Amino acid sequence: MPLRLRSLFDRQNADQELDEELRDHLELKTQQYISQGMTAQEARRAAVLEMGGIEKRKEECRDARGVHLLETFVQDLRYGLRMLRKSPGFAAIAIATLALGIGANTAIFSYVNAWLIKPLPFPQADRLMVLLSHDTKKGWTSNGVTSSADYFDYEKQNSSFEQLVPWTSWYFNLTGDGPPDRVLGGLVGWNFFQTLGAQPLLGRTFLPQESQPASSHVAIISRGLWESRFAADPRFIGRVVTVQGETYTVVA
Amino acid sequence: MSKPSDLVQGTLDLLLLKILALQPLNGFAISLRLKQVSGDVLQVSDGSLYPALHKLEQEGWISAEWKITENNRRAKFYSLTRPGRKHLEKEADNWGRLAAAISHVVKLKET
Repeated sequence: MPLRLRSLFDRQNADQELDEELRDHLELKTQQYISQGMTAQEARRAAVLEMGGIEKRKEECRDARGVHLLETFVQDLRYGLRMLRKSPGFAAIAIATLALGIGANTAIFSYVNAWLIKPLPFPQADRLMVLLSHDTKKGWTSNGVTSSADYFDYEKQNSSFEQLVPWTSWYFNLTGDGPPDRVLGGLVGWNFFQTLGAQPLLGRTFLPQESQPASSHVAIISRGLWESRFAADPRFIGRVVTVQGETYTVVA
Repeated sequence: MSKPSDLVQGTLDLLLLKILALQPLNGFAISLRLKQVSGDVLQVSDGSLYPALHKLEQEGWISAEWKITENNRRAKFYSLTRPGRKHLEKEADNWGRLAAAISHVVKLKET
């Protein structure tokens, strides 16, 4: 029993034909009554009455086909399942192939989505740029390091960007206040969050003077760290954490 | 016109298929023919006729074709298909058995 396909374009035609079919019937019936002696008006009226509402009849015809479509679909579905059960080997291979294909696609897409497609969760993300120094001797694939001195120079001479922020990411040792931990963090310039357009949930962002060498060490911690290490203590601001053996005050 | 007797859906299907087995017809002619050959006893209401025909077409037991009639008009003619013929035979058999059974029960002698 082959699966029956219904063309979408057929629908409009089908409706028109249905209408024509029913109206034809009315015509023929009217003619019959006239030939039996009724007046044209009486004949027409009788024919229309016997048909009932023409729109309703059309609806019923559509239903007769529609419900039927569902029944046939279910029947075909059951038939398909029966066939699959009869050849379990084939079914297993087909299902495994589908699973592999779907799985691989999902994995790759999630990756591509996160890295390439999804916009960064910052306002005006398309205006954010990362500038990297690159070592011409080692070739374009190596990222060089921009020294602080370089950064200050860029900042002085900057005319292309609204804000420049130096930053680097690093794994830090967190001690004191709990079991020693290794967290992913960053060393950033004071205007880091400002440039990104991000606001802390609690607390404040850095102040310009905190970027100066020899100023007090301040830190902003992530929500995750706040919840895991500080038990989401609302009075965590002002507490001191020990990073790489040095003390930092938490400001947000 | 006399009141049409109530036709159960399955029975109606059977009758329509048989009428079409005799000759391809359009909807109006089918109901007319049925009335004729049954001596006015079996009359299908306009309201039931077309939904039934459309269902039969959907099942694949009858097929429809738009043709030009003698009066130069376009009309939708239904005809019986091969699977339709098979279904007709099956249903006719069932009906025969049903009718015989009912007759038998009704004819039982009352004491």
